Amino acid sequence: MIVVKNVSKTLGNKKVVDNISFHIAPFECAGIIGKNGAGKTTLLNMMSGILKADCGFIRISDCKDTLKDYATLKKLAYVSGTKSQLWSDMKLIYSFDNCRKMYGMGKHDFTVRLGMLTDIFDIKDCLYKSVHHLSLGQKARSELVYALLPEPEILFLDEAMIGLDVSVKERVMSVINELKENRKTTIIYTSHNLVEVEKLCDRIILIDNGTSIYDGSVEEIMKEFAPEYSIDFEIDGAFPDMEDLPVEKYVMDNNILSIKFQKQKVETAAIIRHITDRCVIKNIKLREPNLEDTIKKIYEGKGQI
Amino acid sequence: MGELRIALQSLKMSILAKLQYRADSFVATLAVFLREATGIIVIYLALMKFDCINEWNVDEMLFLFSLLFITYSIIVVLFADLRDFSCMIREGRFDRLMVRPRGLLFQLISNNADVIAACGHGMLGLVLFVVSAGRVGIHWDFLTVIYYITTVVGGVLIQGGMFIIFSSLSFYFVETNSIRDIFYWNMRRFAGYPISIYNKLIQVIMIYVVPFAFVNYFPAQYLLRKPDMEEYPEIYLYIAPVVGIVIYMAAYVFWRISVKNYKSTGN
Repeated sequence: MIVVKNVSKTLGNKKVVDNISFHIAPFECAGIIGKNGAGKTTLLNMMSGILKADCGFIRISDCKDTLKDYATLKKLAYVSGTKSQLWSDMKLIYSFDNCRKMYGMGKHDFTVRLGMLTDIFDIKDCLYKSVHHLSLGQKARSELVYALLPEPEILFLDEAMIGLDVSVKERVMSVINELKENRKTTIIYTSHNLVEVEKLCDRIILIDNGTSIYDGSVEEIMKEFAPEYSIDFEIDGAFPDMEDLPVEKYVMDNNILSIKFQKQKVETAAIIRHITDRCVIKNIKLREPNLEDTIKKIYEGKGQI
Repeated sequence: MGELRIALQSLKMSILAKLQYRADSFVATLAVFLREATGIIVIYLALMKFDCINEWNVDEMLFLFSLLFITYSIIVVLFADLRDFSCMIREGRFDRLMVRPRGLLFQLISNNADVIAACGHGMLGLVLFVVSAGRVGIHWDFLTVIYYITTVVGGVLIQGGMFIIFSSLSFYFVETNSIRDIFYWNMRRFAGYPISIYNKLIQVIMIYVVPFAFVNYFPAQYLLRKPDMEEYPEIYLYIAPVVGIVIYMAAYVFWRISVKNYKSTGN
C-alpha cells in the first residue's frame, strides 16, 4: 500500500529524515513515534506528498508523486492537530459543504455520512456555529469529521488528539479502532502520547534523530525490550527468604519488599505464592511495564540496538 | 464544472464572512476607499497647478488611475491568497491545500477573496472612470467597449501573473514581501502617470520588466491618442491581452517548477 524506501530529507542544515525505509500493508494501523523533532511530521508530510524527499522514493498504491495525481489525493486524508482545514470565521457546515464539493461527493451520500459522523463525534449542535466559537475539543473533532467525510482509504493523523479530554479521546479511539477493524482504512498515526499508540496501533515505527530505530508490532517490542515488572509487598513481621526465587533484584526497606523480575523467567503468581507461604502480607502493588517504559528503555540503551 | 461551483461557493463564503459584521466591514471598506482616494485627491490638487504633463491633462491621468484601481479590485477577488502567500506558508495553511484533490493554483485563486479591498478599490476605480471617461473625449462604440474589456482582462492577467511569480519566490526565500513591495507597489505608483515623463530606464522597466505600461498606459493611448505615443511601436496599443496571457503562462510554468521546492513549516 505504502512503500517508503531509503528516504532522506534535509531541511535547512539539519538532516531531519535519514535513510528510512518501511512498507505499510493495506489496513494496517502504524504508529510513528519519537521525541519532539525526531522527524515524524516531516516523514508524514513526505508520505502525503506535501514535501518531496531529497532521495529515495515513496509510493502510495502505485502513485509516485501525489502532487498531480488527484485520484490518489482523493483517497488520502490528513488530520493535523496544529493545522486546521476549516474556515475559521464561517459556520462549520460550510466547511463540510466545501469538502463535499472538493471531493466530488453526491448530495445524498454526503448528508447520510455527515449525519452519521456528527452523531459519532457528537458535534451535531456545532454545525451551525461559527468555527472560531467552537472549543478546542469540538474543533479537533470537526477536523476528524472533515477528514473522514470522503471515506479515505489512507488516513494520516498527526497529533490529531491534541486538546481532547479523556472521554472524547476514548470515543475517537473507538471510531479509529472501528475503521481499522472494518478493514477499510490504512492509518498512519503520529503521537508522543504512547498510551494512545499502545491502544490503537498494531505496529510501531520508532524514530530517533531521523532514523528508524525500531520497527515491529507492539507485542514484539514489549516482549523484546520491556523492562522488568515490579511488585511491592507490604509485609507484617519478618522478611522471607528469597534465595530460591529467580528474580532479578529485590530491595527490603522498612516493611516494604520490592521485587523486580522478568516475565519470561518467572510467573507473577509464583512469586506471590512464594511470599504468601512464608509471611503475612498487608498489601500488594503490581506494576506492569507499559509501552512508555519500554520506549524509554530503548532510548536509554540505544547503543545496543 | 465542479471547479466553477467551488469557486462560486468560496466567493459566497468570503462575502458572507464579511456580512456577519456589517458595520465593521462597511467602515473598513470606506477606510480603504478614503485612503486610496486621499492619494488621488492630493495628486489631483497638485496637478491643478499645471495644465498638463507631457500634454496629458488631469482628467486623462485620472483615467490612467481608474484602470489601475479597476484591475486591482478584480485581482484581490481572485489573487488575494497569492498576494498574502508568504503569510499563508508561515501559518501552514498551504499544507492543507496540498493534500486536497484539486489543483493548487485553482484552490489559491478560488479560495479567498478580499471583498473589502475589492469594494474599496472598485468603487474608487468606478468613480474615477465615470468622472474622467466623460471628459477625455473617448468615443464609446462596440469596438472600444470590447477593447476596454479585453484590456481589463489583460491587466488582471499581467498583475495576477506577477503575484504568482512573487508567490513562487516564497518557495526559495523565507521573506519575499520586500521584493513584491519594490517590484509591484513601487512600480504601480509610477504607473499612475504617463510613462513618457520618466527617464529611459524606468520606461524600459515599466514596459519590459514589470509591464504596468500594458495595464493602463498603452490601453489609454489607444483610446486617447496622445502625441507621446510616437516614441513607442504602434503594436503596443493592441497587445495588452497577449502580454497578459504570456506573463500568466510564464508565471504558471515558474510556479509549477518552484512548488516542488516547498519546505513545510513543521509544527
